[in-house]
Amino acid sequence: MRIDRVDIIRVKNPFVHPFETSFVKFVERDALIIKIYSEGLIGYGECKAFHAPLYNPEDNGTCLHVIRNFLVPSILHQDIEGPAEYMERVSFVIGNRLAKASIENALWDLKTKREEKSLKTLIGGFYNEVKVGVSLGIEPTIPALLNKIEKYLGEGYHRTKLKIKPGKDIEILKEVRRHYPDITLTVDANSGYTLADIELFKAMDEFNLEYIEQPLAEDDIVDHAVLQKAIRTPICLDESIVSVDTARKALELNSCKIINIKSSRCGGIGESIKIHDLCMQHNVPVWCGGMTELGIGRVQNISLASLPNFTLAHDIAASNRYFADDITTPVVNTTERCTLIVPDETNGVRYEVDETAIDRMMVNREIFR
Amino acid sequence: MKLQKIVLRKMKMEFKTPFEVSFGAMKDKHFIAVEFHTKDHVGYGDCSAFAHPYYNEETTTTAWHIMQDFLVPLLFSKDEISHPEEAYSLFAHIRRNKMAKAAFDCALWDLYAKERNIPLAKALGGTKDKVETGVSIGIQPSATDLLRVVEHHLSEGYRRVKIKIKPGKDINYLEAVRKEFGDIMLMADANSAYTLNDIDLFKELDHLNLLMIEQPLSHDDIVDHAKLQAVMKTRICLDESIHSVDDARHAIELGSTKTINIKVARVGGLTEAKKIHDLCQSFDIPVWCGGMLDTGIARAHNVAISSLPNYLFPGDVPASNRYWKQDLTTPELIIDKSAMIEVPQKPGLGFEPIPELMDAFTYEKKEIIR
Repeated sequence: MRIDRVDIIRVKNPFVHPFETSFVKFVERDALIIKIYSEGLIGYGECKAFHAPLYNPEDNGTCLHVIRNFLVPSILHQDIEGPAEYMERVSFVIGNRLAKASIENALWDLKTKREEKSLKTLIGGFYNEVKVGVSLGIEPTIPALLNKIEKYLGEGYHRTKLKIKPGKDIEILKEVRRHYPDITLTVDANSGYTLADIELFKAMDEFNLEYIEQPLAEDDIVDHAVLQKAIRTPICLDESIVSVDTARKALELNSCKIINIKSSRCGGIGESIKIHDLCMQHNVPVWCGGMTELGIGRVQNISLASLPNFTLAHDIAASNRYFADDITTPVVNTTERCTLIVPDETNGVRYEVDETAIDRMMVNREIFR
Repeated sequence: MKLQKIVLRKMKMEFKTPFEVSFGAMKDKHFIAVEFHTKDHVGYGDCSAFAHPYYNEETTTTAWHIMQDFLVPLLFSKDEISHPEEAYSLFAHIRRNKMAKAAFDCALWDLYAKERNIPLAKALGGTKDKVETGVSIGIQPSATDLLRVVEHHLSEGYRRVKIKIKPGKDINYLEAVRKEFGDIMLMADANSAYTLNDIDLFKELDHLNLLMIEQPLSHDDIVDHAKLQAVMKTRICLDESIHSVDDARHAIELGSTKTINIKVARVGGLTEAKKIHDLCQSFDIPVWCGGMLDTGIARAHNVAISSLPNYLFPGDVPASNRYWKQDLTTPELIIDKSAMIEVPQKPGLGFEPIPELMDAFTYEKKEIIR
């Protein structure tokens, strides 16, 4: 397909519940929407970087530069077979995976439109609906946390994930398990610990957690192997896995037993499928993580999660958990079973991009043609 | 250190001869120079990120953005910085972006030494008066061309010769050099051009008795390198794979490397470089100092850190005239007949930027006053 035009649209969409880390406030989702025009069709992608490089090395500033200066020139006014060929072309760009994924995702969207097939069909998806889990931040008090858990269990969420940090871990788990001995419970440590905390993780074994997510450094697979050897609870890696190669190495070292695939972190849907397939061969289940994405990214996540080895509950919520406004019609919503229906050719579920919503949120648009 | 003003400069210097890289010829060195002004002193740092993200994920533009939008406000959030280590912690939650951080860390070290009126090498714990440098030679069209270039550099006094290799231009080139020049300190740099499928080739290289083979496999790998090191005698040296003291520890634990090329820019500055040096020393793993086609400022930091005791192999810290018609700093950096560089005895860097040249090579400048 020939690429005729690329737009980079910066949008800002306020969060329903703003949140704060030690360093910056997250008041609104500051994101880049990629729109690729090709032979009368338009493909959409979303760049998942934030407004500061806190999750990985990228932020919207670095992504804008890399998309504008290196990625767009690699495809504009050129014939391109599809997402895989694009990834080959931009392999000279090291890292910058969130930036690369935004264009890759748009090329997948174009492919669905050219071939008039759903993304699920194109990638060989299996599930018709996928299960949704809930991820809960650190609450000021344990009763406040218990209230929240009660509320979300009532709504039918299939897994409860608790964020933990040093000093706010074992005590919380004890209380939660005392009240809810049987729920599917996991914790997310967001790299808050080191191997010096190994005894603490051993003590968590008694809580029967489905997994402990990313306990150690964000780029580590070596120390995680030491930790996994010492504990029964499966480790789930997130930030550490950025490619099928890092996944292979983590499996070789036995650094984890589960992987959270955030497709943008790994450079896109193509690389995520490879990670999925590798994990399936090794009987390592995966699930789909979230980056508080807007509708375009959210819908693509649902389709990706339809692959057969995405067996655990996902961090793909209904749009209104995060936003009052969103950029798809309809906005993403869960069923009464707390699942998401995967759009395909037969079930009548179809999401369209809402251009008027993009216009409402737009801060800036750059056009390359 | 009470910072009053930070100056960021986007700068460009023309190479004496263009460098061939994967996507064409690189004619100019793009970099960012930073100046940290206190009442009495100016500390200098250099951000070595290239214009394109092909060595690592950073570019001049990403670094400029990270400095301006995150690092400067973080530094200015403190009234006073007592030690570069303090800024290192301040920057910890900004992930990676090491080259941007390195420029700031290096400028703080220069200031720190100047405020104490001691040479930077001393401030860092250096023990050597002189450091040895080697020469690094790009991929030549033919083995015959390579022999001519090697001969020229040996006549200049360089003793350690590093040859860049890639598939098809590797064992034949190295054998030719060995045959012609005998027992020189010869090493190869593969810049991640190979995979584990090439394992037999690397075993074959063992008979050439190379000083080391630098970064044979993927730029972010330490696991496959461990498999390779297990089957070859020649020392593997990791470069791109090591970004932090934790990476170094992991590589040593897995047996992926027997020496490390510490590039100050790649690891985020002198603070991290020193930590890697200390860790390697405790494991009896020698290190050496790599370069990023550096101008005078970055090279001055490299000279200082190379004076630490476990920097045991010659570095890639060439003389001013290797890349530049005229270097940015004074005095000119020269090597003696045995490829040694004197470690400056003056306070701070010991090589000071020449103001007129700084301005002449600047194409964008930003002054941020506190």
